[in-house]
Amino acid sequence: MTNDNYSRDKGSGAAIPSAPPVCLLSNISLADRFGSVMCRVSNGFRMKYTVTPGLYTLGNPDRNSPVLVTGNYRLSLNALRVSINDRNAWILIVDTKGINVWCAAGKGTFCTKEIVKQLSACDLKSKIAHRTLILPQLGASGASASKVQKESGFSVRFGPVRASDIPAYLDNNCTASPAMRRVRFSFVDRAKLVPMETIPAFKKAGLFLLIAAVLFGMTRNGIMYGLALSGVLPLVIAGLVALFTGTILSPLLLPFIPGRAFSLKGFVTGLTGAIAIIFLLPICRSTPFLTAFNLVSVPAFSSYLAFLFTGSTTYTSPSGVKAELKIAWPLYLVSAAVSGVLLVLVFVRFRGIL
Amino acid sequence: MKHLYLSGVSTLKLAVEKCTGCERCVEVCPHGVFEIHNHRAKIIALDNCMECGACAQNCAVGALSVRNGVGCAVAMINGLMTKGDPDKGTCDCGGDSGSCC
Repeated sequence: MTNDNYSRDKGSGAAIPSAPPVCLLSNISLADRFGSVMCRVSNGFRMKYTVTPGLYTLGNPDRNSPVLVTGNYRLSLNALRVSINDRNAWILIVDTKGINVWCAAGKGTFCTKEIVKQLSACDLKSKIAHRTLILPQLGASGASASKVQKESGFSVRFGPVRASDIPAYLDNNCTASPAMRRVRFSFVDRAKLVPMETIPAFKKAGLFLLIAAVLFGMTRNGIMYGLALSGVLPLVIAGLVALFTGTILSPLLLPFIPGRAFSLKGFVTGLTGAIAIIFLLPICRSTPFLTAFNLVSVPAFSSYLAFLFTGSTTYTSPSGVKAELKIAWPLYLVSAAVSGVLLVLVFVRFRGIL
Repeated sequence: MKHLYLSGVSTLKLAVEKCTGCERCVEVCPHGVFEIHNHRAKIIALDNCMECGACAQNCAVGALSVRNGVGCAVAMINGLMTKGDPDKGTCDCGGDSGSCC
């Protein structure tokens, strides 16, 4: 049996009704490690990192073994099967379109209906003697325990937030300690999310800089590369600093940066970065326009990028994000307009010198 | 270090007279917003609330209400830009953008 046996019917992508449960292995292979890294750097890879929904087994579950429910994102399943490597359990995987349980619950794909559907498709009742399901706690925003019970006859207990606490939870008569119920957002958690913030922003900024380089280098005799480079270099530095403070520094140092609003945190780190390059690099203050451009655009861009990180955190509320947006959005528009004007002045001055 | 987001914004409401003290809200809340006092739920840390909606979804007697959603700037900016309303946007989870809930 290979470690890949749980992608049994890759072709159809659909669950086989009442098919015999597939056995999961509890070890992590090299391919799994590769997958978990790829999920953090490529959205395209992550969206296809799925498992076929259906009933699975870990160890040798019998009619009294616990039933754990999860979504069909393979990274989640990997965490689950490794955490309970010495146990016997049934794993019911519902179709969450390859999205992790918490996001799927928020979007309504991890829901009562889907769980009930999968329960009957797998004919779980015929395989076990008890009538209890253990749902991931973070699935609670999508699934209702009372509705699941009403519609399927299974009573629901919510497991801990983290898969790694499941053994302790099971040993403690399916009771989670308050600490197990709390979601965290550690430095390591945040660090794992950084590449997916930086890479897309980097691509967009790159395109902008390419256009700027062409404009700076343009002469009647074609594009002068030396001219393009010397003109665009300060902009490259400004862009890199904003990317660094907005998508790397702000997420990593999140709780230590002054302010509660993400837009404010990003502004603080961005302004620090802008002042740093102005002081350290003469090329970044060669004209007053360039200095002003750095002071306006870097903090604003950094603030915007840090604000986007709200969607990746474990604790930001929609009301909070909306409140931030209300204040930040007009400021972003003003900053963009001012930056645009300053950029034109930087450009005119740059070309005027020659 | 504890993360703190904006205070005084959560839309979470508890109709304590309906509460039966089943403790489901304490069980599902990922931010320790509730405690049980005298066999009834009590909101002890409203500012910790991220409006995920888990408590309201699982309150069998409908004692809890919240305008739930995902606190995602990407979704709200998309909504604002395309439909003029931050509530109507979706984030690009599943698309090709970076930020994801």
